Amino acid sequence: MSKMLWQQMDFSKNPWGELTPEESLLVSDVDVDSILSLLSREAAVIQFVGEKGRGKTTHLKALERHLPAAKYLYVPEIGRVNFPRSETVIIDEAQRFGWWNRRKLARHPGRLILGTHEDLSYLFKAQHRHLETVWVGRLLDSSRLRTILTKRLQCLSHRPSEFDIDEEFLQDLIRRNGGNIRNMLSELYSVFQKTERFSYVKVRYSH
Amino acid sequence: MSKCDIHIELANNKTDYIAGDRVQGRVRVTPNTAVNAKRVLLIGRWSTHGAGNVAKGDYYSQTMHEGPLDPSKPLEFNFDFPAPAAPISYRGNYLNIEHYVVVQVEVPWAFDPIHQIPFQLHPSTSSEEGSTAVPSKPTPAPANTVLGIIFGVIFLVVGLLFIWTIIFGIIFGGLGLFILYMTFRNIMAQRVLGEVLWNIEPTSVTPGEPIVARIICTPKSRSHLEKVTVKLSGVERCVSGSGSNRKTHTFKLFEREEITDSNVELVPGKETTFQAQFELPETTAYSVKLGDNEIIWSAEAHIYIPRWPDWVDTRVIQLTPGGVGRTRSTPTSTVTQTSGRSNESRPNSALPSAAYGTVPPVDSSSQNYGNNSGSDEYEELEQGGDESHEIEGTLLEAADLISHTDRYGKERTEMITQIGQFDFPCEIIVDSVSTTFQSVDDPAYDEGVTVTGVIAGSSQRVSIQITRNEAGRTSEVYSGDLFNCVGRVIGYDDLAERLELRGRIA
Repeated sequence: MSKMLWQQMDFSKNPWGELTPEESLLVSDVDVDSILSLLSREAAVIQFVGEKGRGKTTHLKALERHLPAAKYLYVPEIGRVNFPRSETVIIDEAQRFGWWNRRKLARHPGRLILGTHEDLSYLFKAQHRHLETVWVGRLLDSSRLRTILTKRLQCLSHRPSEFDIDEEFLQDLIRRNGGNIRNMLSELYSVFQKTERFSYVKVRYSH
Repeated sequence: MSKCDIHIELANNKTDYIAGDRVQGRVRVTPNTAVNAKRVLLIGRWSTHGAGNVAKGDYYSQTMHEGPLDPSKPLEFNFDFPAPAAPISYRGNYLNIEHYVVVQVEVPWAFDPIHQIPFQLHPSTSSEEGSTAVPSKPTPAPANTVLGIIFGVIFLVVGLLFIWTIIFGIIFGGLGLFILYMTFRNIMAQRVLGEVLWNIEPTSVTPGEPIVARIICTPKSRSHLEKVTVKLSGVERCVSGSGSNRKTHTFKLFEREEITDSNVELVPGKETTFQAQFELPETTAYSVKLGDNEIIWSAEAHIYIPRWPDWVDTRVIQLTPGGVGRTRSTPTSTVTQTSGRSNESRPNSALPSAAYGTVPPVDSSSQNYGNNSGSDEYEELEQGGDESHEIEGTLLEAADLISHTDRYGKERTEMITQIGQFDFPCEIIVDSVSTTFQSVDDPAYDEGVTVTGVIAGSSQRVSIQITRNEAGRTSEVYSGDLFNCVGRVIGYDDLAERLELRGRIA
């Protein structure tokens, strides 16, 4: 078996593939502390709004780890869901809620953390609740993308290493994929799986 | 600083093992601080990675130390355990299977320091172990038929009830009809064909081994068949996510369809047999199912009956390791192979055993490409009209020139336009052969093939599109083969660092 690019770079696996839940937590680059401070108010609502692949679920999963008492609910496309009973509720794909569950959402007395494709702030307007909206992926620039990708590389590398990702390559990724990080990871996965040379990511090993 | 540094060393730096070999080595655990460890574990582990959910399993585990670790006393120990029979290491498109030696320091109420190093497991030369069994897909059972009828009728009734809404009526009614059609298709077909028996022999095969598909039917009435085909295919199927958030990634590793017969007249009461023979490709993509990740090989028999539902059935084949000694070569990547009719001629001219080396470009008006092979002289080429174009150098030099121009600027476009006027003979060490879809600018290449690999004697990646008419001639081209062709440069893929050509088989 010839050495694949990710092997040559001393990874034990293709770093852009699916990760275990533990690895996902390690590589996620979410400023949990500042988000938690937004949630310090009673009955606060924070919604992460963005299209698919932008990192909404990554944010929610990172918060779930820091809020052990919170109940996490993923809303499926089809099928019934029971609204969780908990002081803090994390809901992924909240835009899939029908009018009945949206009504329950608006009336939930505790803290709410939502991942949604559409802005649901209108649900909470009448209640004068503290609501924060984070537009995920909208402000993705090459600097932020570099941080996200480098953290993943560093977490999955065999040994302490520094990675240099070509600026032009990062801008090209953003130009072609918008803010869709999932698509970018998929593209990088293919490159690392199929090519033996790739000059846009350079690695320097520390001793 | 981590709690402890873990260093694992495989004996003789050996990273390739055959099932049954002893995996041996040495571990050194150096605590950087006092670690209140419960124990230190040495684990033999397989794990998948790629586009699907990670699956892993431990086949060996041994406690090498119990109790706290002292920074003044580094822990050292040897390990020695047998390499398992399965799963065999694999590097595919969406799926990879790796083996690891893992050292884990278990620390209560804290993250466990852990370190792992990979090794490759190859199949034993003697055994045919290595695959986790994939159950053979059964022919639709009566229970499936009953379910099909129930759901088909429900959808159809709902569709009829909501026919006034038009859209709902069409969606539900159409779905109901489709379910009923799929449920009764083979039953309807057997009214013409009589009972259809078919089998694959053997159902467990090794790469390169032939298999025979045999379909037997005894028709009840005189009838005509358009054709009978058997399609052999291999796919990687990986699922990521869970619940309703699941996404299935499917990659076709291999596909070949054989037409066993066409325009057949069936005689009532007379047993008719159709037979197709295939040779499994040389591949390391053995049948396997590991969690949400699997490699499935299957054969699909299809009897085309004009103006009547076709008869279709699928059987799963087990592709198992055949032993290192019998394989022709060890392809390092997967091969997508699409062939045309089995009765088409497949000349071996696509697989010449010419010497490696770069070759100069030749005039597109010349068809005598062979005369230029191996020549180190550059030719001066002239196009018709007032403007003359000169190009010096080989395809490799062309690739180098293009890759060093600004990919966003006009310079590259102009250079490709200029270089793209000339035909270059090219010898490619094949990595994969795949079907070309949606060639919008030239329909002749649509549903042709794209051969991807490296230019022989170099590491320059290259792909060449071949027309649909010539696609059949690539049916015997596999990973690792030398593919001789002539092509014009149409682009350069910066991401894959690959020169893109379009041309023909030399």
